[in-house]
Amino acid sequence: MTNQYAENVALELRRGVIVLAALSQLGEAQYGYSLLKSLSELGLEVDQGTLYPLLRRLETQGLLESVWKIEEARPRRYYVISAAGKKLLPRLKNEWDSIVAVMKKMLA
Amino acid sequence: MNLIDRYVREIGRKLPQKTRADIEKEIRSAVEDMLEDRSKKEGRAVDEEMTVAVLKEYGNPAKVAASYLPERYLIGPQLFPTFWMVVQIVFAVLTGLAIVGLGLHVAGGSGAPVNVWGSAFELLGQYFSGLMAAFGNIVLVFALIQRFAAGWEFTGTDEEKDWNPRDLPDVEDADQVSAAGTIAEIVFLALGLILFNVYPQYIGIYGFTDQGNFFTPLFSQAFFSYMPWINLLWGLQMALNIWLLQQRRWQAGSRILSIAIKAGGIGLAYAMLMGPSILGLTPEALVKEMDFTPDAAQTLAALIAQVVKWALVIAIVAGAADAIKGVVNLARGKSAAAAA
Repeated sequence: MTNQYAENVALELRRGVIVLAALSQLGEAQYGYSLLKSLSELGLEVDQGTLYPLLRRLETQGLLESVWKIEEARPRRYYVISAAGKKLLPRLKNEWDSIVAVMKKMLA
Repeated sequence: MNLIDRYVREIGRKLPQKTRADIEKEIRSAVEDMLEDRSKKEGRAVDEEMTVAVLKEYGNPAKVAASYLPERYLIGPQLFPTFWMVVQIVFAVLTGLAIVGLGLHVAGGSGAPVNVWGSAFELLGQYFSGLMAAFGNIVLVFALIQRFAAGWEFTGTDEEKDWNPRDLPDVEDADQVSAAGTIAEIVFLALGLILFNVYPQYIGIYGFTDQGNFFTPLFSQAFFSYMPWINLLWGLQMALNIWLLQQRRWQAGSRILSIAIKAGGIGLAYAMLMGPSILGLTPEALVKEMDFTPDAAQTLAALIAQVVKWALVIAIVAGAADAIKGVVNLARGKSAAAAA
């Protein structure tokens, strides 16, 4: 019960940063699975059931753009940050910095 | 059809038509990427076992489809408080009507008691099916509002902007006594006591016609035989109101007295309902005194008798509701005192 609760809270914490993580990694176009892999290599494990719908939502909100490309005889959707996303990213970074600073103080 | 096709189709079946093809294409592409990666890692060709493992990892089709959908409600959290309020009001009204109907049925029932109670159970059955039908209709209406007016702001953004803590209503104080209401009740009780005790001969129906003025008393001798009890209850109610006016708050003693008066009132109304008619107005009097045709007189007298019957049943129900409220407030007051 306690372990399950700890996992759920950790999951909620991570979920909050996925938008920032995805926007920060999509300066260059990537398809979903390659983004998933690169986030994982950087240490952020994200479930595909979370990442793919999130990318679609960000595109609907105008923060990402996407295009289908045929590669190795099969289609892949490439996502890249849009102009609106580029404008938002520094603000989100600042917000993140201040959250980290506050939490560091709190947890010291 | 291979496993990936079946998997993608199963997810697609749970998605809206508009986005289905696009999401299916995306999921297929992602699964194939995963398989390619797995095949490279394990150094072997993609086979059915590997496909099963990857699809299991990707997730249950229902769960995957749900992740692409917004949360859907039959009645959403914004609408739910209004929905619940309407359900409570409708149920209260239906319950009140059922109690009145049941009271009337039992009071007016003729024949063997078995028949009276048998059909009372039938009424109870109708009451429950009525509740279910009402609930179904309310759910349907709210579900339609949810479906077609989901964009409405039921709490209202403007209201939120103008919201002011100073405008919040006062916390309800069940023990506080309203002076105006209590004084008004004393005045009406005094007027009632004077009218029924000093001028009972003037309580009736007056008619003014070309042939002259007519009068027929409204209440029968049977009604006036209850006068000592009416006087006792009204007198006690007046005394209670004067006491409350001094105290300005309900206390255990005044609550107990009030419950006793309500119980007495219920008993009196029940006696009037079951006993001889309290109406002095007879069809004969209407024909003789007021020049009615016999048919019209019958109809009018029957109508007035029904009104009086209903009024007594409503008095019993309202009295019972007040008494229950009094008991609840008394218990609440006692538990609050015990906690303090």
